[in-house]
Amino acid sequence: MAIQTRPVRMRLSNGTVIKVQATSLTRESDVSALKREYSFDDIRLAIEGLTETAFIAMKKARPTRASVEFGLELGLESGKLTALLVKGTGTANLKITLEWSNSIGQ
Amino acid sequence: MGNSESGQFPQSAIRQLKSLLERCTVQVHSEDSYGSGFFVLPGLALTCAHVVSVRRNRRQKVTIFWGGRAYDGRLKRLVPDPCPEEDIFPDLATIDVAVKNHPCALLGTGCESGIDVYGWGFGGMGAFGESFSAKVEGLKRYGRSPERTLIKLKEGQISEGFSGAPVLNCQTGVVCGLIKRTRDLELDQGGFAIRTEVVLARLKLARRQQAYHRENLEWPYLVSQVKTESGMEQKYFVFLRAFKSALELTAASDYLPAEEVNAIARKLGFDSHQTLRIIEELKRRDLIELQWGGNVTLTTKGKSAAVS
Repeated sequence: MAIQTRPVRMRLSNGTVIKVQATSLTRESDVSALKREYSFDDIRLAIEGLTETAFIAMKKARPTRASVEFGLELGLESGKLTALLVKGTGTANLKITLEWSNSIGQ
Repeated sequence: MGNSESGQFPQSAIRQLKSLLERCTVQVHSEDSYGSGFFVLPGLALTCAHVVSVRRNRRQKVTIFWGGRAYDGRLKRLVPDPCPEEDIFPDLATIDVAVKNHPCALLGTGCESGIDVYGWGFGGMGAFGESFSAKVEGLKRYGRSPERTLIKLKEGQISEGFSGAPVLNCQTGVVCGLIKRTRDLELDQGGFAIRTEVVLARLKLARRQQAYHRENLEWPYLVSQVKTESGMEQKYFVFLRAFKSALELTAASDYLPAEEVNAIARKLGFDSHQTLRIIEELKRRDLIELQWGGNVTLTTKGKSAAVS
């Protein structure tokens, strides 16, 4: 069955209002039409939280280089916007690459 | 039984009620969202609490669109108040608005499985309104309280903006609920409606509704006509079925002589006045033809009409 999306208004940190397509997380829902503007702050906090968590996890491994790749989608549930961690590249929700240079352990 | 929606047995009272329902319906704009609603008393519109969603002050403004004009409305009651962000029951709001000369919907209880319902709502900003139709599937309980039991609808498109739209019971001619939820925003899967029983009980509207409709007889009159027409529809159907059965017994013939038609009518308990009315109506609907001498022939349309 097709995923349902709804356009919602979102206010960015600099005040610009954009329309974004948000994924409805439940098929059944109340049917008033939303006029409200959502703030990007909630999504920003989700991105910060994810990167911080990944950084803490990787720090213990002490890599020389590290990269984290994740995909985010906006979800709408009971009139609230939420960040959905979705597949980025390939089949992974979260792709972590750690590299150590030759000098380590020598 | 005849299908009123297919036009085989059109019912004029229901058609008039649908038009009257449209004139009762309003679009409701609050700060956060918009939806539909309808007049239940003079100057009082009913909608869902989640359409208004938050009470910001005691004389909160809500904009009502009716008859091509915008009116300032004031939120009167919000149930529950404060309104939570989710799991909202019974999900009702009333709005005072200074509109004159508008009709009010007649609220009534009862909504059996399988019956057709019809409604009018506003699916977009600045929309002029649109109808929807569906069938009652049954009930859905969201908890033990009767206020958390909704009418479950199927085979209808319940779109964004329809919250608060009235649901007309096409069998009884009264408004049996108001739309709250959809089962799918993009498909015609139906939705859920708040029951009128809950509206009448929580908002204490029953007496004032009765008083209004005692003075304003248009809606009650049409309800009585729906019942009469429904009774007549039954008679047309029964007669046509008996007529077709009698024809099947007369091999190679597609007509019945007048005396046999009269015999069928007598067996069914119809007097000559009723028989004449039934014959005239079936003829008007092109289901039978009246021949010279009172013989009756079944038309092609009559032959294909479902009677079982």
